[in-house]
Amino acid sequence: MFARTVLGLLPPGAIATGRIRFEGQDILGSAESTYRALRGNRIGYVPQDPVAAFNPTLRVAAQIRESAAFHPRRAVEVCAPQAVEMLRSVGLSEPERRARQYPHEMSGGMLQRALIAAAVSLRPSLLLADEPTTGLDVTTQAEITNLLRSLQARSGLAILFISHDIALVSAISSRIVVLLNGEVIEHGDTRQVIGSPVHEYTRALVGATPTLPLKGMAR
Amino acid sequence: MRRRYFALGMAPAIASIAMVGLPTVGYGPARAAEGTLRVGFVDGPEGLDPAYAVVGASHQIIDLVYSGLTKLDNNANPVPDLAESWTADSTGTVYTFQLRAGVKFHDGTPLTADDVVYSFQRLKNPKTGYAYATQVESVAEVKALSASTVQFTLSKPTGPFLTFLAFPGNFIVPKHLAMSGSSLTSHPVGTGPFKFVSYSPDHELILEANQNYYVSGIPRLEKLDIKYIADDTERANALLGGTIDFASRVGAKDYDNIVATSGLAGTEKVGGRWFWIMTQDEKPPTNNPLVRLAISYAIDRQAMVDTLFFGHARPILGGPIPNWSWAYDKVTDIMPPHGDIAKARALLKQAGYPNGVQITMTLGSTWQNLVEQGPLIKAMLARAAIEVTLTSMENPRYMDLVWSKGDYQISNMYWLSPLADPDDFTYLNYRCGSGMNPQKFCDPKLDALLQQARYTSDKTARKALYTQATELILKEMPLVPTVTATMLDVFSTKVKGWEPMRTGMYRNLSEVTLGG
Amino acid sequence: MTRYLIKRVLGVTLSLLVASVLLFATLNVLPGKASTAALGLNPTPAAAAAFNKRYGLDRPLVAQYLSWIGGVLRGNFGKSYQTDISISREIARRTPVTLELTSCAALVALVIAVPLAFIATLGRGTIVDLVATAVSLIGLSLPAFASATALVLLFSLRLRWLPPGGYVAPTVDLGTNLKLMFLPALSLGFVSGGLLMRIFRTGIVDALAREYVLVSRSRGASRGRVLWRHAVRVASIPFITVGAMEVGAIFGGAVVIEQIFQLPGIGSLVLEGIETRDYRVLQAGALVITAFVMIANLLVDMIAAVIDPRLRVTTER
Repeated sequence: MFARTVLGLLPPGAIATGRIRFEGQDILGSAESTYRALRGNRIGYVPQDPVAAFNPTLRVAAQIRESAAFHPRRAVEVCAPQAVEMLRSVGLSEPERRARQYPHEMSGGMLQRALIAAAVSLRPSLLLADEPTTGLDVTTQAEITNLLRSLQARSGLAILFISHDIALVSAISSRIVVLLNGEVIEHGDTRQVIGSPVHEYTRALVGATPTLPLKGMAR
Repeated sequence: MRRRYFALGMAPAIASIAMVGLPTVGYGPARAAEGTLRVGFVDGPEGLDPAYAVVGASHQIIDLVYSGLTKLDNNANPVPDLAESWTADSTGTVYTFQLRAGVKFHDGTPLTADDVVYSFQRLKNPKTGYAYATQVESVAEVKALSASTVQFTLSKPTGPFLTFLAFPGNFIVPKHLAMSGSSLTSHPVGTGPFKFVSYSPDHELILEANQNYYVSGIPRLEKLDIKYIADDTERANALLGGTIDFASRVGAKDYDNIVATSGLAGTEKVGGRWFWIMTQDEKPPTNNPLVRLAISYAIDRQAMVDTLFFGHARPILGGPIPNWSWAYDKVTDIMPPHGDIAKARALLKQAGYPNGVQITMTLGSTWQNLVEQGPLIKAMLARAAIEVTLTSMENPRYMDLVWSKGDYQISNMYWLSPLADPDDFTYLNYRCGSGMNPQKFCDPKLDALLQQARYTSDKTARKALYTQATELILKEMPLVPTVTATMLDVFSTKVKGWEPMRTGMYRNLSEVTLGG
Repeated sequence: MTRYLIKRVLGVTLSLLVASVLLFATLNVLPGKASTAALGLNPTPAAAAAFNKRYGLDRPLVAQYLSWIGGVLRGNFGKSYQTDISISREIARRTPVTLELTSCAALVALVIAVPLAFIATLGRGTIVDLVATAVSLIGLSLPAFASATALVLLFSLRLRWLPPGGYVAPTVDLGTNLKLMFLPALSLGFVSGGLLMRIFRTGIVDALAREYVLVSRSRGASRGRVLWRHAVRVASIPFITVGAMEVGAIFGGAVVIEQIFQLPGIGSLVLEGIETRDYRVLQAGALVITAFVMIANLLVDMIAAVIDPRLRVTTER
């Protein structure tokens, strides 16, 4: 829901209150046209379930090129990569063949990489990663995490990583915001939040994790 | 659903009471035929070879395309047709026919005595399987005395012989075509007023005027475009919507509305279309004549006329011979129009069923007009303590079970007598072993009377025999006649000169013209 | 795709052969003999024998079947017992009528289903949706013969805009042909249209709730764009599947509609065959209709396989 709130894609009937500041503006409650200009362009989105995120009847290539197709001017501006390039850039083998394939012919991990490539194809300043590794096996989880990390290192984009996995989060994040029932209950520097959690819920979260690797965090 | 008027492979007949002189010659010099009349008929023919045709729908077309030695006038009397004249010897067994000169088949071949001889030999041949073979049973020999003279020798005097000759099954076919194996069933060639053009089964049959027809100026129409529309309402709608000019035999419920419509008219004739209740006369309880009589007395025939036929029918109060027939005798009218419940109950009691009786009525589901009689008959019989269970089944099964195997208790049926001769109302329905007798009724005394009446040439003597037969029939009640339905034709007022025919056919369409 | 196609064509051929055996077998165990129907109730044994010999009915059933199917494979359906008319010629003459009627009906169904489904989807939950759904429900629950009767009463007898029945070939007079086709196609297509509208609407609404629609919107797609690009595409798969079944329903309904509107199609030929126990006509007509339904289904499946890649892959394995 959090990512959807940021994107202005809440289901009908859901109400968001407060403020969402992005690039210096409060975007919550903006007009649809404003949101559309942001989505895929300034803000990329990586969903939780890579298989459900693809339309089974369309080729992978056509779907990961959507951002560029929906923002043609921006695509020219940033020289958006072709589908094959995107797939190669996220480390998929045989990208030419993959590009012609349909979603059901690829694994969840591959699809998740493709989604990430799609989400950053227009060089957004923010990437919303909504539990991007939850449905994946441990090895693939690590691969995806590494991919995100290297992307960030390369392009300096901000990643808002949503997860229940406090160990993972503490390993990859610089700042942490703890949400409970849609309310912010604690936020701050990762080291600080993990090291000395204030709220009971955060404490429980941290306490439930046996060993926290409090080192090797990105920045 | 299609409705077949002649379920039992019997021919139709229409009879008219109005006797308007039938012009057999045209108005002065031959006038070119003009116009196409679009006609809505009920069922499509099933084969157009007279010898093989079984159903009335076939005979309807055969009657327009072929001719017989005689034809029936509007009063159902046999009059000359292909035979210009004839003589009979004193014994009534040798008939000599003089053929009309210059008659040609539609393919241009002249008609000769040979064709007549061949036609009847074919009908007599057991391999042909002529469905109406009993009509030619007494024909012992047919020979050509000359190219235009034919002599028939009968094994016994036959009352309706000249009438039988006017039956479409007995019409004359071209010997050279029939023998060469060309199919008259699909491509009929005759000497009648109309020539066959094409037939698309159950959809459309096209006939055109026979320019060489031997009655000058006839037919007056250039073309007959016959559309087959089985459903009564759809046929009526086609006329109302202007897609046809003439609709044959519309339903009683539609008739009054149609003739009240401006630009449309209709004719109503009492004829040989009669309904009856069939009883299984071999098995209890209907093997007892008293039970059958009880059923007959329980029926309120006038109510049937009023509710099912909207008045376009007449109750049958006596035997099956209708009151317009020369053989009808009023003394046989014994049934009260509204029935007699007390008498029905008394008869039932006398039959040994003081507490009433239960029977099943089997209906053929395709015949809507028969099916809708079911509930009414059930209600009427209930008043006389005859409790009826109605059951209906699709027609092929019905025909098999009821008509072939006789496996039923009561049922109902109707047909159109094609010949308007008393023989036609009795011989087939009542005789032992007849295919039209699923009652399995058999009384040698009645058989003898019917046989004698058929093979007697004197009309007065025949009438007396039929009165005797009818009296016997009313005592035994082998089947229960209910009503005679009138025949209703409707048409655009552009159609001029239509006279409904007691013969049941539509040959008079050759006299019709199309006005503006 | 080619392998899939070949496999399906072989399947249809096999099914048709099986259907022909079943048809032949069932018709031969039905009550009522052909000779009785053709010759009257009490044919003489000699006549029945002659009839049976003439049509080969005196041979064992297997031999009868083989010679029948042999003829059928060469395009010869034999001659009618009743009218002696060549059945092949009759079928050739009537096929275009039935195909025109069923195609027009399918078109009507689509013209009703697709726009109504869109209107209902776009105005989801509003009065528009309610009205569109009500229209489809009427179509769905009103049998074709009933709507046919109502249409004739209104357009032919009251308003006198259209003829109540009959047929003119399009080659003779296209305008009249279309006028005559309008009411039959409308009453026949309305039923399927109602059903298909509901299927399509449900499919679209269902697809719009899918994750990939959200993802596509997260990339900047407008509502209209995801509707076309994703929802319609995905919803067209159940739509096509049900559509394939409706092809059978339309052909079945055509039998009744042809009768009501006096269209000389295959359906009325089949009815005629049933009524007169003319088994050859009945077998031929039923087999031809079966073939049409199967071929139409095959075509529909092909379209579905083009849209949904999963279908052809799973079948190829």
